[in-house]
Amino acid sequence: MAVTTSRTTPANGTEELLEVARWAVEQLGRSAQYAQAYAERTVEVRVECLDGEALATCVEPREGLACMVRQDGRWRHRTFSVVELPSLPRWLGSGEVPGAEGPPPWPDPQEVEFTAVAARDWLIQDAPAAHSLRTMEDFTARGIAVVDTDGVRSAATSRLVRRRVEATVEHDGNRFRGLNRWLERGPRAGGADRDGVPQDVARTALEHARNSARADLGGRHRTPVVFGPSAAVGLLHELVGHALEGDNFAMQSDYIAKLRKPGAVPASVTMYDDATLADGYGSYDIDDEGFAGGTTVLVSQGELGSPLSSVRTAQRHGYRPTGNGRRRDYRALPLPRASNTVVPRGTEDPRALLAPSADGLLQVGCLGAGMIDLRSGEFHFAALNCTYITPEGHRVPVRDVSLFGDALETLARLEGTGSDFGGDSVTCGKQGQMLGIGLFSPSMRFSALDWSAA
Amino acid sequence: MKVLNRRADQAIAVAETVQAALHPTESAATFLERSARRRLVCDASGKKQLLVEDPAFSGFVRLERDGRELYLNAGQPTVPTAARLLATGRPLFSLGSPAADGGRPHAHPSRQTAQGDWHTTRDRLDMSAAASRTGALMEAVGEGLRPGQAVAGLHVSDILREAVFLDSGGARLEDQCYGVELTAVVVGEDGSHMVSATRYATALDDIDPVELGRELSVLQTAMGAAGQPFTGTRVVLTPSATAQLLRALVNTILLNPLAHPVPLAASLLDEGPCAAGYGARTFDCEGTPTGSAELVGRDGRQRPVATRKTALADDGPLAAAPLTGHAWWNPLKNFPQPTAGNVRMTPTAGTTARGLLAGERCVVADARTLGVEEFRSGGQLAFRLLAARTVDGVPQEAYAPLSVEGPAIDFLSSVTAVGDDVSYFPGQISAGGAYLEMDLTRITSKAVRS
Repeated sequence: MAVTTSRTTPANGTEELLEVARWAVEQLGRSAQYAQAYAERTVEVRVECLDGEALATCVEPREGLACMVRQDGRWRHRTFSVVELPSLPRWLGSGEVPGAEGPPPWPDPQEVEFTAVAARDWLIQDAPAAHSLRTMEDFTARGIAVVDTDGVRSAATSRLVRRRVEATVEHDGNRFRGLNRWLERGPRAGGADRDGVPQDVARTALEHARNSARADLGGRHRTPVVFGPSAAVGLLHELVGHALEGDNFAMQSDYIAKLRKPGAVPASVTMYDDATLADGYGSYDIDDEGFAGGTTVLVSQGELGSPLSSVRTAQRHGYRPTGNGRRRDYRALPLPRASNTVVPRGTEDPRALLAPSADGLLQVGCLGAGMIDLRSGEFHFAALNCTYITPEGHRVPVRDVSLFGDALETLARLEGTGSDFGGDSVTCGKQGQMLGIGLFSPSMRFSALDWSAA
Repeated sequence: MKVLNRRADQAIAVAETVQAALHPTESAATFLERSARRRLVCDASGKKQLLVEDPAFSGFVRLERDGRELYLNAGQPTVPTAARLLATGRPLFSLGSPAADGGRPHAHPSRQTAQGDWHTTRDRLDMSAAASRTGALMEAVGEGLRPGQAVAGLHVSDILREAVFLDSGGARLEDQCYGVELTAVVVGEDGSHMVSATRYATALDDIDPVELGRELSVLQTAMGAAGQPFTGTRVVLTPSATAQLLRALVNTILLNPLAHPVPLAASLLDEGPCAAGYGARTFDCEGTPTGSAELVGRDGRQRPVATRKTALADDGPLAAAPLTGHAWWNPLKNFPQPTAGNVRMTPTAGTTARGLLAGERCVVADARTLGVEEFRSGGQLAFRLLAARTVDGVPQEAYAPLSVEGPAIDFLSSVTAVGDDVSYFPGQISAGGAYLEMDLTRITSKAVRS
């Protein structure tokens, strides 16, 4: 396998980041009830290829310091680029202490040791159909350090590669896409040891594209729906998980008030947030406020558990700190966010869940983009890799499915949880911040959902 | 009172620092932009607050060496950090891609002045004067409402969008797009179903607050308890709903060019430098001049859109396609993506908003796209439409939500009439909304007993 490796200056740098954060808190803590400093040095390298040729490479360094303070009961937030650090002591108006030390040195540009998949290694050998293949490889090397006036002093580094494939086939002049993705995390992520995997990932994307081209079932339907592994928890993450984020949980909304009532979530649902999974897209040793990543029960046999909290939501609303303060980078505020959302395995045979009703059944392979209105509970989501199973048991590919309905009514229609299990890596947006989260679950069957296919 | 000051000099200084820090074998192009905003927020009691967002510039540097290129995503770069950005990128050149040919012809002439800058207007909103008019503006919006509806708030904003482009070939470009937004918030009885809508223009006096109130009245009604299903075929879309539809349509056809043209009642125009548009600009993020052209003609054919790395509806190889000024820097992507500037549909002869709303109509006030184009399999759109029954434009009650879906060309060919009064709406694509009529026969989502 041909590989391309790049390396810059070697340095871990987290000790220096910790020193900068410590210095910042020392400066700010004098005039605030609470002060937190978050120092970050991240490099993202994104390589995009088209049909076996490198198309574009983008490098994004993100380095700087974010400070958050509570002063006279008010929260304030400000970011400092590396060159702005000397101005930090003047931010809160307390002025510099004569003779006080300046900022410690910021570490040198980060070491980047990343082996991209060679463009031609993505190409599918003996492909069953003419197609175009676009691949995107996103490598992130991140170093962070957090210090606050409550005694937090933490630092961590992480390496992550997420690879996405988009296969396109043409049929009758129209283009149809199929998507697939693959995640690697840990110290060896982005290394050269992955023989055969790129082609397998690409082959699956091509299969999805071919199914989309074959699909010819349109219109609006109401049938039982089985969400496959990871797609099922994707739905629950949207319907329940977001409502259990501390800031949302505190909202005075009809939907969340009803969700908090006993019985709103079926007793068969257990769901937790787990930042410790080895293969989770949202895993971390420490969150972006320095708290150790852990496991938080969101729903236990239908009963709601703790809301996910950041420092601000914990202090404002009295929530238990759960270590879920996450941010896109140092320029954004930490918000209470999921890490990896997990539904444990059930007991039912996943094949039995797929038994069609008199109206057939929709099987959803992957949940795409969509939204829930947390005021009303109304939702709509796009679904990918879908199959309609006719009442006679025939499998028919369906493309561009839209699911819509009322969240509470939908939850009440959960009627089965499979004994299978699977995971996925997705990006989730909140207040303009896109973050990676992991989704892990078995298949789940709902007795009826409204959906349409184009 | 704080004002929005031009800060393009700071961006040019960063771009010049990049040029100065290049090694002898390197060349670079730098694009930086920002959007600053003052927002005067006024509640129903007349209490006012001024909020100012005055962000730094962000963008990218395209670094080129020995026929290879690397994009460096530059989030809020400064003169002192510009060299550090290059230092981070240089060791990764081996991962770069072949440089695209930068010498291709341009489809549109440059509109930059000899001084290298361009602006939509030199006028600026007097925010103090606007603050004294908020009561009158709220009253005017209220004139468009029906009994039981009330104005709950008003925002008057001015927005300054600045962009600069500078490259090693000597290009030095600067755009200033300035405009004013009026946003009104309306509630129903008991404060229920709060809705808002916005109008944009180069000056506050160019916005009709009564008309804004009429649209909000329909929207607030459509958001209410769903009534009977609409059983007809012809609907009218409000300007906001039209903008929602156009934005999704354009995003779709930029990824999935139209394959099967059919004749249309109106063409789809893209007018990059249109001063009335929210995204007015004379150059794109690759420094290519923008222009005015059809994206889709009345013959239903999609016209070429080409950036350095992509060509859509191309009538030749990528390397030969003239650059059309449609490149957009999305910091989450890896290279400039194809986009549109200010898009609108051409008015059909003799069509006015008043005429479209005459008599009993089904008026769609919200066209919510279901799903994101990138995650769809290709070229298909689906919307959930919230609509109200109106009589001569006055809303009566909500219809049950409608679902429509189909390929982009079916949506375009379903448009039967387009009004002549366009207002542009913010977004990555600035969509010009006008009242328009659609025949839903082809795109109504049919209930199917599977």
